[in-house]
Amino acid sequence: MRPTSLLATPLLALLGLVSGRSATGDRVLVVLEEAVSKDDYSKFWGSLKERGFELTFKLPKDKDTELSKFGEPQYDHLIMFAPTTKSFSPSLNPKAIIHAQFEGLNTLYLLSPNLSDTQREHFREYDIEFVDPKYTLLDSFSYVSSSSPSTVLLPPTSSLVPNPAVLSPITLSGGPIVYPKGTVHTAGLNPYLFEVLHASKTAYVGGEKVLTGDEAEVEKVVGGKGSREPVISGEKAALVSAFQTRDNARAGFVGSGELLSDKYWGTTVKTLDGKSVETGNADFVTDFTKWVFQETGVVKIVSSTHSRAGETEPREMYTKKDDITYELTLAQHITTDNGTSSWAPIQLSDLQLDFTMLDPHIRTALVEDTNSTNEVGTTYKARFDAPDRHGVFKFVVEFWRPGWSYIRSSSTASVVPLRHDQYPRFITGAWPYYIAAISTSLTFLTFCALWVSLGEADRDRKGKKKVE
Amino acid sequence: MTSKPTVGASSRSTTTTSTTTTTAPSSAALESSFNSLIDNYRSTTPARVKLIDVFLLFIFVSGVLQFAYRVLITVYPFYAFAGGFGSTVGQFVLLAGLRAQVAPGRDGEFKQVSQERAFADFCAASVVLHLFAFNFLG
Repeated sequence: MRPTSLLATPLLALLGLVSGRSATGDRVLVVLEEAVSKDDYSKFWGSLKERGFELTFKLPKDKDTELSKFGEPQYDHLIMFAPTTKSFSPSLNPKAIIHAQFEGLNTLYLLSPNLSDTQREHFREYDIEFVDPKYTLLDSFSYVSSSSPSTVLLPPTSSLVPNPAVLSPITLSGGPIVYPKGTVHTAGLNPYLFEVLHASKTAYVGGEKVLTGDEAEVEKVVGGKGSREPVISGEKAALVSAFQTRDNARAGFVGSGELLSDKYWGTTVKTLDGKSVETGNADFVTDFTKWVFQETGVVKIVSSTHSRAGETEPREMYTKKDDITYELTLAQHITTDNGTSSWAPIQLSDLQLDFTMLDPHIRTALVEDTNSTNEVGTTYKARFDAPDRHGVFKFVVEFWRPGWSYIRSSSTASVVPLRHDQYPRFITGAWPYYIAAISTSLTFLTFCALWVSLGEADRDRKGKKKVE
Repeated sequence: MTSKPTVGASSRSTTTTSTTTTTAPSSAALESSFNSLIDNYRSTTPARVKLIDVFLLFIFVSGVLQFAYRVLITVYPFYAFAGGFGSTVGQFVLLAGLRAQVAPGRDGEFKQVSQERAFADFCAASVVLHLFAFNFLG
């Protein structure tokens, strides 16, 4: 067993390098409900296969689907395209998925307005609340002309949230994104959740019925006195959100599954003013799935070390006021031009180090070290004097930004006072004091000698005194 | 004493001559009294007390210099200052004590203590003081 596995490991690693571009793995489980036609999304599946993913298609109620077998995850990523499904097989129900996410499963949820209640309940775990089933996103000023106002055209500059970890510059400056018959959600205060795409200013949430100039009608539909729900419109209407746990498992929520369909994948559509524009859907979906499937925005710690100035090895103990150097090497996951997975340097400007004993005693910037000889990644360096305080300290680096992997590095070292024989002696500045003490002693000795010798001379007078 | 108002009043008319003539007697008197003080000191003070006085003066100057150095330049390391300055101050106090016991006219207060006894006390105390001072120097 052992020798074979030893042989297999480098082989597997090699395979992984060749085929997979994801930092974690390339096995994708796609759960499609019966209402969704697989052929309508052939370009999307094709793009995933081209990127080196192995797709396995299952139905929500397939009994033989197992996310993890004997404690081993069977899939690295999951595409959940079953918005209207009410019940799942036990291995695919929300509880099982959340459990698998703790093990590192990345999930892409493709949704639609007719979400089942079980799914709504499930999404509340991520602090995402969806609008009522009968509502979709509408925009009377910007939609595909051949279709209804529910096929919203979103200009990328005003609706995408620019995040360099998730979206590439091509997508941000590309064509408009078609958002057909999509639901809308509002994101809560969960700090692990962040928006990727929201509606533009003229879009609002409403029933399929398009509003006309009739004011009473508008009042009735969009939140008049009788309406209980607040109206969601413009930037408040989140369409695509992303979620990343502290273990760096990722989840993406796309409010409209049809956004990925062949109909809008690299095609041209007509806007209301008659212009033909190429859709940005393909670029956007590619960027977003790259992020969800751990291809972009993945940062790892290559090494971290600390040492005293002039030394190379880390110490367990530093003395007060020691000159300490801390180095952290980070690498970013990239896909090389020939399609392999690789690690590259990463430029960050807001990295900082805490030297902590309960509270950070020193908080200093980690600056890129251009003289570093590290083979992989970028080395960041901080140099500081140990505080005049002894105790057990930790070097802590925490980097937590939306889209980027959560990085935390912590290593422990003690700061001790000087040993009794380590204090400096014969300090130049203290020589006057030394000379004073020595001269006093020498003068004392001279004084004693003179006193004794002078005693002879004084004796006569004293003797006379006594006689008198 | 009496010449001073005169100087103030006649400052406009008689300038240099009046001042020299008026101050000359007083400075001469001061000088003569100072001379007699020194003469008296020389003739009546025993040699050992003179020796003590020289030592006292030396220690005083040393202490002042150290304090000036501490204020103007550095007090680091403080223990060295404490040792050096403590040694001078302690020695000064012990020496002053010895002077009080051996100087003429002491009999009123220290009749029971002989000069030898006073000197032995002084020596013992000084040795202890110097041991402490050198330990402090670091």
